[in-house]
Amino acid sequence: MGVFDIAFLIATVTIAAPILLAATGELVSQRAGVMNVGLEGIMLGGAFGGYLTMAVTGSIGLGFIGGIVAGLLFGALMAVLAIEAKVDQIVAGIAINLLGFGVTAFLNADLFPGAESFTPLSRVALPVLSQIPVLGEAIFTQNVFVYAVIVVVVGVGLALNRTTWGIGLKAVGENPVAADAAGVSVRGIRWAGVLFAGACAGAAGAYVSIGDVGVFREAMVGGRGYLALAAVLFGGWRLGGLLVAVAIFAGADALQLRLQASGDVPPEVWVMALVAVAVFLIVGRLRRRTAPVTTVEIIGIVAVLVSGALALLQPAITVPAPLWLALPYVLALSALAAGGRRRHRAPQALTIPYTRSEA
Amino acid sequence: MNALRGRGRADLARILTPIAVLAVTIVAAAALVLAIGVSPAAAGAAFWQGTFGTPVNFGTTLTQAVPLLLVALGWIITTKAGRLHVGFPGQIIAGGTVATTVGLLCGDVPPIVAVPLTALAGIVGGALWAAITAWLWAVRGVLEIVSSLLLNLVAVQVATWLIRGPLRGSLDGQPQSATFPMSTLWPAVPGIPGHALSFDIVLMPVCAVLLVLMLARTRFGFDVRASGGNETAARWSGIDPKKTGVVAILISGGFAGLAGAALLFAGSAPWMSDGFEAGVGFNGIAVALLARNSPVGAILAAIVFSSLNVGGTALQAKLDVPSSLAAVLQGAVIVLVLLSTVFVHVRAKRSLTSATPAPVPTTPVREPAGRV
Repeated sequence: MGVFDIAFLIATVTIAAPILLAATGELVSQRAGVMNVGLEGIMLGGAFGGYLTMAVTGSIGLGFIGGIVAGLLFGALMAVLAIEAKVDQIVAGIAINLLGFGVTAFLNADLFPGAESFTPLSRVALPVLSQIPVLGEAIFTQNVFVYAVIVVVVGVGLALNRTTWGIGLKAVGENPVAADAAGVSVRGIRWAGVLFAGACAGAAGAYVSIGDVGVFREAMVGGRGYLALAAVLFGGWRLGGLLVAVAIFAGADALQLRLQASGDVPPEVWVMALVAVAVFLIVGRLRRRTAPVTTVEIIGIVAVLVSGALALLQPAITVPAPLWLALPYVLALSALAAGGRRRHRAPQALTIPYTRSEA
Repeated sequence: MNALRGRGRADLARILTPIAVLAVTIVAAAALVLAIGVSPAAAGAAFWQGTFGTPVNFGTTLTQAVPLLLVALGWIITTKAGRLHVGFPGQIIAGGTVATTVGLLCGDVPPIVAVPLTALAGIVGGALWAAITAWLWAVRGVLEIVSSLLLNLVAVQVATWLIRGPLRGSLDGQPQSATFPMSTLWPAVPGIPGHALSFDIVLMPVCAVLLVLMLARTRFGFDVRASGGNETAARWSGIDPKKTGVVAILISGGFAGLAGAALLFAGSAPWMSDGFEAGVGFNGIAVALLARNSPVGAILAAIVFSSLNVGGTALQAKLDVPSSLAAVLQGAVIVLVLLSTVFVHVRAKRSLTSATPAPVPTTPVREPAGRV
């Protein structure tokens, strides 16, 4: 299938891994009721923390720990602002974004006048599993970080849905008064959630710098933090939805990388768009069989017709590289717009600080 | 009696807080500069010289405060309406792009027409970009903070493409637009060389006062404050918080778009290039926070932030201090302001009443489309 080959899948998984890890951490934090908009800044902190630790120790494992520590520090700042000081969480997040950018750029310019570069993580083929056709190459012949992300995501899924702790966490996000009355520590759970999000974002940032390319540049996270945030919201605050969202973003990014090189848009891209929109429409229809046709569906049908026509006629269309780079964001926006209200099953107490009434 | 004394202390705290924040920031800056081996005294002297010391530098500092203030005013009106969007960088870029397009077409138009046209184009561009956020929020129920964040990233890429494609100037293939015609450049004070002090600084008091009057004296201003204060109460008294929110977002986009036009047509380089936005979109939010959402106080805060930027560049040029020092300090200022607000609140509350209890959620009050 030309563009959509194994290399495309491998690229998608590699691009998805840091976004997925940061988004999973953010999901936990938001289910506990704290929205951390400063993900981008925390990831930058992790990226630089990892780079710095690796420059000092030379060990990539310690580098990742350095990234996690940096993420925890920013997470602790967020927790102090959001949980202890009870300030506006979104404003606190903006401050963390500015600080994350400023501190890392300042220290980088001061400590590393000449950029250093390291060997990034190498791929490890897992025995047996890597023999599976397609999946084996795409998922089970990746670097250690990708495996760690899978473990974390599965662990979070189990913890959220199968443990008392997870149920307590979700209760804190939905109704802190009731959770408190039931003996769950609202403050403790929220701290844990925010710190977990910080650690995840820090590790994801460390992957962006030392794990993936082996260098650090100013603002190198390049919007991944914002994408992770969007994935949590688009995924309707559920782990499954989050996986779909990250897959869409990462797939669009990988596609963009493949297509930047080639001139015209190959016809299979139109076929793929047609299939994706059609599946989206059919799934939506099956859920609400009797509901009247919505605007979104009409737009979707038009999109199917247009992409079908493009696939048949195969006109020579070139899209400049910057517009390809904007594609994941435009997709995220369209997805949010299409999902709209239905997607907003937000935790009831999200961004609302908790004050005990008897205090 | 007691309440009066408490009131006086709260007012005192209002004035003292920004001063305390600035003092802590200066100490932090001195520590950072010392840490990289530059004497704080030398840095302070270079900073003063680079920001307020000469007429040219002073003019630059004032002129660069204008876009910051405009963004801050945009933030103030949206937060008063109870909305939180952070799409200012994208709206600045959109406003700047439309203004550039109009400006490049205005070569033969006299300045008296061309200058207002570019400003108007900026406002329209910013408001149109904000309209996407407003539409997504009001009609599709998408959180304005998320859509505006994503639209920022889209705007950056679209502008990158435009100045390499349709808007590219003929000059040796640089990724920048053609030079703006002389007639479109916003007038500057003639005595100061290099267009340093632009007349657009009159926008600062004018816009700030207009916003104060609008919020305090007009019906729309009342709607804004009511919607932001208590959405349910506003709806019961016949105000449409959704309509008010949409208009507030559009106005804030207009302010940001005007800031984009000001950055280009009153800036140092008369053409549009990558990164002309230069962090103004987010720093403007910090300006509003530092001024604690007071439009008039924001003028002073904007000048402080602009001096941080201008001074940061001067420090880099003279003493080789990384200019990202400015970003560190700006982030620190927001954190300090947030923490100091809490401190003042706790003090005020202790002297008046006990802490307010947590709201007990009964039936979901917030409609799903509202801010979460």
